Amino acid sequence: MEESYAVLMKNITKKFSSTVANYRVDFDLRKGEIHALLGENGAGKTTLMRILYGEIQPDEGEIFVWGKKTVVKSPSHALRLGISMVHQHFRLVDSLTVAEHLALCSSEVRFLSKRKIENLVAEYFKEYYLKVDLDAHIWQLSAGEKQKVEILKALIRGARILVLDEPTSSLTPLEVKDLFRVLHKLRNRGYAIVFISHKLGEVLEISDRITILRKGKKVATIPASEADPVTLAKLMVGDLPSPAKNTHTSPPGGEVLQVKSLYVKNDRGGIAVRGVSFSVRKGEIFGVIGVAGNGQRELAEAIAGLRKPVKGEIFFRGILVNGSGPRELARRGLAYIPEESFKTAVLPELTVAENSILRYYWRFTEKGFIKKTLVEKWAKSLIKEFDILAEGLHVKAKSLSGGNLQKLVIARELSSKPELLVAVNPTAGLDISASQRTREKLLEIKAQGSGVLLFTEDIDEALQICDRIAVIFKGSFKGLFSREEADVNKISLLMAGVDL
Amino acid sequence: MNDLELLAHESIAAGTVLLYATLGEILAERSGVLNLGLEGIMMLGAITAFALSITTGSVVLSILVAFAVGCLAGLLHSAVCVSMRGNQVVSGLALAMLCAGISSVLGRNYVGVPPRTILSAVKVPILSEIPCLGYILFQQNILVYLAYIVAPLLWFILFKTKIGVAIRACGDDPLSAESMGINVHLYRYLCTVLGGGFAGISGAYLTLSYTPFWVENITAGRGWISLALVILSTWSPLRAVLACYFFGFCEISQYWLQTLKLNPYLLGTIPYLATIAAISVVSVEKIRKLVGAPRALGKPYPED
Repeated sequence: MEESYAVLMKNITKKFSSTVANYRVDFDLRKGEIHALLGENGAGKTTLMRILYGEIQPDEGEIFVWGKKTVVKSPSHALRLGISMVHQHFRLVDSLTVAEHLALCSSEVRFLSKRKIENLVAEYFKEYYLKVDLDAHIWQLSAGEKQKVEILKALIRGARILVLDEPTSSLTPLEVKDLFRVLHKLRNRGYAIVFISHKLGEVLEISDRITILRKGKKVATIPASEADPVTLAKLMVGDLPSPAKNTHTSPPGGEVLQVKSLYVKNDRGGIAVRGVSFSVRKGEIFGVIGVAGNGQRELAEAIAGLRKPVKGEIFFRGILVNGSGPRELARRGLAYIPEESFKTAVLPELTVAENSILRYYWRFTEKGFIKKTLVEKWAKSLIKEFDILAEGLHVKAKSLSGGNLQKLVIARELSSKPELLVAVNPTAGLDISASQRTREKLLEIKAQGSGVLLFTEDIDEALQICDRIAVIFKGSFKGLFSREEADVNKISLLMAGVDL
Repeated sequence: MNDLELLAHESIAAGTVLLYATLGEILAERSGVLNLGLEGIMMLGAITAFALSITTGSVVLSILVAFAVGCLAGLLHSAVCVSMRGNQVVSGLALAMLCAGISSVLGRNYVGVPPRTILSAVKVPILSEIPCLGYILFQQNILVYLAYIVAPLLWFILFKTKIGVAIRACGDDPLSAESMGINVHLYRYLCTVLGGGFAGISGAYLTLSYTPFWVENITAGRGWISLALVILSTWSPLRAVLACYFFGFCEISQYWLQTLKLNPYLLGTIPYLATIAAISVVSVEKIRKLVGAPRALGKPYPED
């Protein structure tokens, strides 16, 4: 066994009840390298690393850490071996300060003496650009600062092997640059780093080697210097059914939604949407693209009637609807697919049938009572039309997989033949084929003459199906392109906040 | 000694009954466990201490055993809520009733029995000679003095030591706590058990000093008041001292103000109004964050 290998994983197989998350995967990590683990959602990247971190046990396979065969029993065992994982959703206690977190991770600190903690982190602050305000509470920090705290936690516990799960997903472009600087420094000092991601550009920029997983299997490991985006994408996705194309060319009809200089606040009371104006026409897909957290959610919620705008006007089918509730908007023909709809738009404890009527439940009543036969007939037709995998109408919604829950929401929202559909990242978290089907559905209702307002973070998706694309940055629109004018480079620069 | 000094002196004595239970509950809730059984545990501590003081004549032994009995009740609660991840509200209410029932049975033969020994006031040398404050603060019994030490000590542990950070992490975000190598279940057990023990001392103080006899329901709702006091003091042991003495003051002043023709019942509502005000303020998200209200309070770990 070569000494330079920090980690060697051989033949790792892990099955969950119905799916194979990892099948005979080999993975190795050298000292002083950044090794990217690239793959689609559900390709098994996180599972593989959770096995290394001891959070789950593999069904088959061997793990060598620093050349020694090891069974990693638990995360605390992993930490003793010098392996630390930074989860996509940070494991930080909101109410504690940065200093308190670091104290918890250090074996030398007993009392919260500020000087002691300062000494503890001085080296990391200086050498690794990891400076964070020690007295700040976690809830006051930005995502980028939280990430730094997570990395500090790992370093203080003596980790030499760092696993970062989708570390850039909640960061702004500037914070990503910051993070990369830190990671380069760590690599040069001999740390071994695993960088889990599905973003090609980042992976090419940061890593030394790239391992691609697809559907739980390892496809290849290649040096980053020999890789290019096109080959990586092919390796990652495999052969795809030809993607849905926006071929419908008939001119769009009248305006179904008009938004005039709209201002909306976020939960913390800051202005999230600043003076946005646009309109969506019948028979068109209007895309709003941007990095997460630039006001998309607030804008969508304002249009869906869930959030009162501070200023500005929203006209839906020609009528001013500021302050109309979601039910009234639904009556007028608005459908809404919120972000992470498999979590936020279904009630997990209710049955599939009950969930299928949530939007228009009052249509299924007779003298104030729910009419069971009507509901069943309705639910059956949705399940059939949208190909939803469920073990029956009366199982709890939480027994369905995320993808199928998503389908249930889409089915429910589209079944009413809406005049306007507002969809926020409807394909996030879905596998490729489910994403394709969702996009086809959007194109289908567009062809039927509905307007679609699509919020997305995925440039390819926007270019693939949108008729017009607006870029949102810090709450305002930075550019509006028709599909013919749209250009990947321009859009990505605008998304990053660069003024053209 | 004038009337006002006497009033202050008595207020502290009355507040101390509440203080131990409140401090204990702050500890438990900071770790994420809500213990609604305080009222029952206090009763259990009260009868245990009273019965032992009659039979043995030893005050110290009585207090220690009342503490131990309280710990046992806390252990039962944590076994249900922490290990078996049961519903903390249901378990706490059941515990309150169970302990009240047991203390009634244990106390059958002690109703109307005169006390054999009581905790007598001990003058602290030098300090008790301070004019005014000397009498109010330093001519009390030993449990009052102990509370002077326990409250700041608990504050120090919770906010200035790593153990305290770990406890607060358990009460706020057990998943993240676990990821930093903290044994969430162990901490929750320890805090709940100790919290129960503190409630036991509250009970002992009641029958050994404050109302030195035994009747059923001797606690008269003080356990429930302590639960409200935890919120009023926003989970801080130091604010708990102020809150408890204030409640003690309200209790005592009712007797005094009757002579001034103020309605004592109306006066009796002041502490509860203060509590409602505190609860309303604390329910604002931003303030919860500022005072560090335990976010995972009442939730079993791991969650389903």
